[in-house]
Amino acid sequence: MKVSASAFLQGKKPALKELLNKLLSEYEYASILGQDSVAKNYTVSAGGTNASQDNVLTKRGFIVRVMDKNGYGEYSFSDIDESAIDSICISIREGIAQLNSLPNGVSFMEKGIPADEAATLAAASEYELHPSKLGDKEIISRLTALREKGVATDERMVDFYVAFSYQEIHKLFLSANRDLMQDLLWSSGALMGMARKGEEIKTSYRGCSMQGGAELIYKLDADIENVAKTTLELLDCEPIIPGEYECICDPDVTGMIVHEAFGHGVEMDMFVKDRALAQSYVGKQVASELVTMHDGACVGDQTGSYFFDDEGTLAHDTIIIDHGILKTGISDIRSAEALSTPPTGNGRRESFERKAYTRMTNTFFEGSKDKVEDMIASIKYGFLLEEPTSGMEDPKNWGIQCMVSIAREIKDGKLTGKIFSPIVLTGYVPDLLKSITMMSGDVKLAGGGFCGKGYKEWVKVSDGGPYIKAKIRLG
Amino acid sequence: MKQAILNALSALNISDYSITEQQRSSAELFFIKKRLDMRRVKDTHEYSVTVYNVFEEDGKKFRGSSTVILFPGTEAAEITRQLYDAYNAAGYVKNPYYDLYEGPKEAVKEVPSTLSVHTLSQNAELMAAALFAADTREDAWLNSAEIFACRDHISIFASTGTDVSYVKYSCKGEFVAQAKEPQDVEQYFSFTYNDLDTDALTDKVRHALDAVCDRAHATDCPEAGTYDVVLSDRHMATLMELYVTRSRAAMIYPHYSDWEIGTAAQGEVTTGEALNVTLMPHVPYSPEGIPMRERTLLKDGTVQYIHGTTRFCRYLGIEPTGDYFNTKLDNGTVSFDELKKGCLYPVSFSDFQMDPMDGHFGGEIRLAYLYTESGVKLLTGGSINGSMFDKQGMLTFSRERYTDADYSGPFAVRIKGVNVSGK
Repeated sequence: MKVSASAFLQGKKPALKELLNKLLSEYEYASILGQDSVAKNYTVSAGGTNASQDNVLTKRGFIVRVMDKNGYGEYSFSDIDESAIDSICISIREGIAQLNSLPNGVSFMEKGIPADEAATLAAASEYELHPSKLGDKEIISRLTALREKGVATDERMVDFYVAFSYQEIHKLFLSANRDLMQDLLWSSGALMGMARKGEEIKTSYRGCSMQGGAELIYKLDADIENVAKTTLELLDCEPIIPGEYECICDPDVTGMIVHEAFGHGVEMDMFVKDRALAQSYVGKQVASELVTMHDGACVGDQTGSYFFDDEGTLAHDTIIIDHGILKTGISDIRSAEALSTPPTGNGRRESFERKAYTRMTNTFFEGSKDKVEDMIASIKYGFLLEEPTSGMEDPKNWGIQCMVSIAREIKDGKLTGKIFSPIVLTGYVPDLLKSITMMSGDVKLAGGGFCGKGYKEWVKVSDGGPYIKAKIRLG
Repeated sequence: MKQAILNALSALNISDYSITEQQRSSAELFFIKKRLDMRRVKDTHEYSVTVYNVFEEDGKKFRGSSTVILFPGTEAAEITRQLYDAYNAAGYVKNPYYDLYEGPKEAVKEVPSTLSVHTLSQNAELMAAALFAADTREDAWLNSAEIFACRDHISIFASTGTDVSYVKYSCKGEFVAQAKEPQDVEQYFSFTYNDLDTDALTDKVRHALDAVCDRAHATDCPEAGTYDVVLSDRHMATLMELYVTRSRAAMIYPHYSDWEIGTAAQGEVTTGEALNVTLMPHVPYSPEGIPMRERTLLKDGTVQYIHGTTRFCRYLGIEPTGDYFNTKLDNGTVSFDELKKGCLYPVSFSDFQMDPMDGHFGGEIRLAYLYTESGVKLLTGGSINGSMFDKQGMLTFSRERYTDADYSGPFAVRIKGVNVSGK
């Protein structure tokens, strides 16, 4: 089934077109993005049950972008009808003009007019079972049963948190030459076991996600035993002795390295600001020849998939690293214009209330041909890393900070059963990527969480790849 | 719009509800070096409506709830459908019954702020001038900056009689400082002010430019090992998340935290200083309309107060207080100069984190000072990783204070015996 169009946006479209025409008579460039998104979260835990819309992701409103003699200006607002068009034009004109006073020594940035090539599109993603069709009663009932199963696995389990959420997104983009509409449905689920070790609550987590609907709920059951087992294993974990080790990263940890360590560094708005070391490495080797890296909203059916971005650029599949050589970065429309490169469909906003930045979509390493058991067998002493919890970019200096929950000890090619936790991964990105010597065949992407630009501007993305073997500093 | 929501609630016979109206305005400036890249204006409006459904099953009484977000321009039929669906959803949310909070009816409170005397665009302009006032050096400069001058008008109206609202101004943002010699490096900084604190922003930029120059000269990674570590300013606020979170009713009710009033939060304080922490309101009313005020959280390291939403507080049999986030601490006993002797002092991390569930703190070091008898060494790289549950009995705080929007207290703390990864 395809996601239905938004009656709200369709109803507002005539007024938006009239507003656009008025703006085009006044400004060199004007575009409008309309958003109508509903997101709902379901959680079941010892703290109770929740079935509510998400107040960050549920948004309905519009953003106008114009270009005047001083460059770009934007105005975010909640509603429009025919009678309000003139007053909205005044708000845009006066609101943006009031921000024209500059501090001493500061000037306006020179801008070119975006290409705005002609395009018309009305596209929708597919799903098997819409969450509203499955219904609140059934969703809560299934999540409750999953939680009870998780808690029952062992009496040491303090709690077993279960979550499902979905986001139905409708967007409309209008400019002088573009008329684009898209309707999307993304879903994600999570399981988290919790057990007590003294004052500490040890947690193990599995997430899953897809471009699709409530069919995802039926996949959660398969991971309950593993989550419970790992949670209990963490009760016996030890702090690691800091050092550089040979490591196997599971696809989730690979995904975090792909995303945090390298992906943020090739967001080309960072090139414009002179904030990315990657800019001086285009055409050079930055990783092992095994590494080919993609980012694209049109590859994979995941939570970074869409048909056009928030600036009206159609989705791409960008090959960032090709067999170890850095080929290009990803861009929003304005950084592409500043760098004289084609935009790659990566201009994304947290919502209509926020500015667009260059953002990742579905970001991953291609797989190779090694078997995971051979990769483990090749290690004299090292660790299998699992369960990434967070990471932070450092595009300027290519430093790595990734946190993972689990390092499973490998001795003489075998897992010993001993676990170290928590773990901080650090190092220099090219050193890590060049040290990759083995890669498994299967590629797995996941997008249960959110990606920030620094500490804000949260958007859904997915990342992943195969199992990789590399040398990594752990602490 | 509010009347349309009330009409729909009445038509649906939904007797228990809460409506939060949010009007948010901002003027925003985005700079790349000394050029203005983007001007933005925001003027948005939305309603968050929580409906409650009381029901019984197998002799047990439940109060379920569900929240929907509604927007201006939504037609009456859709408002009714969404509220109907939410009420039905709440009927499957089997949370044990509790009494709703019965709050006050009060006039609009405007949080006192010097930001309120200007327009948002003037606030943005004045803060931009303050930001660039310190950007005068040749060896370090602002790479980029974002300024958000905001005005939030929040109204909370509930079926129990609560009818409160407030207006709050703030100015927040972030900037990146850069230096190119001898190494091309940068550091990220953020700020939030509830007043037109232009001097504080200029000072922050000045110190940031000093710090990024030091980072440009830092090349060595620390030797791996165990160090006495000093953490300061923003990282103090992050460390306090452990105590604020562990004292939350929502953590105690499901037994994620075993704290109760009288618990020795720091365990056995052996060689360190006992914590005296006050919870501070960040807004006049909680999202449920509960008036927020200063509350003593820890006295001499002992828990004095549990805070939380109505549901979890009722379950624990205590007065609903709202959730707190901001803290104020008493001064420490040692001067900062004395505190840092012999210590590793990381001033900048990629992302310093405190996990309130397992008590671990850590992060990758971007700039640290190692104080030894032979002098000060600049370091970069490696990471720290420790557990506050192991270390909180051995803390020493500085006499000097630091104040930010969410923290007021000692500028720095010394933590003994922290694992550091490095070369």
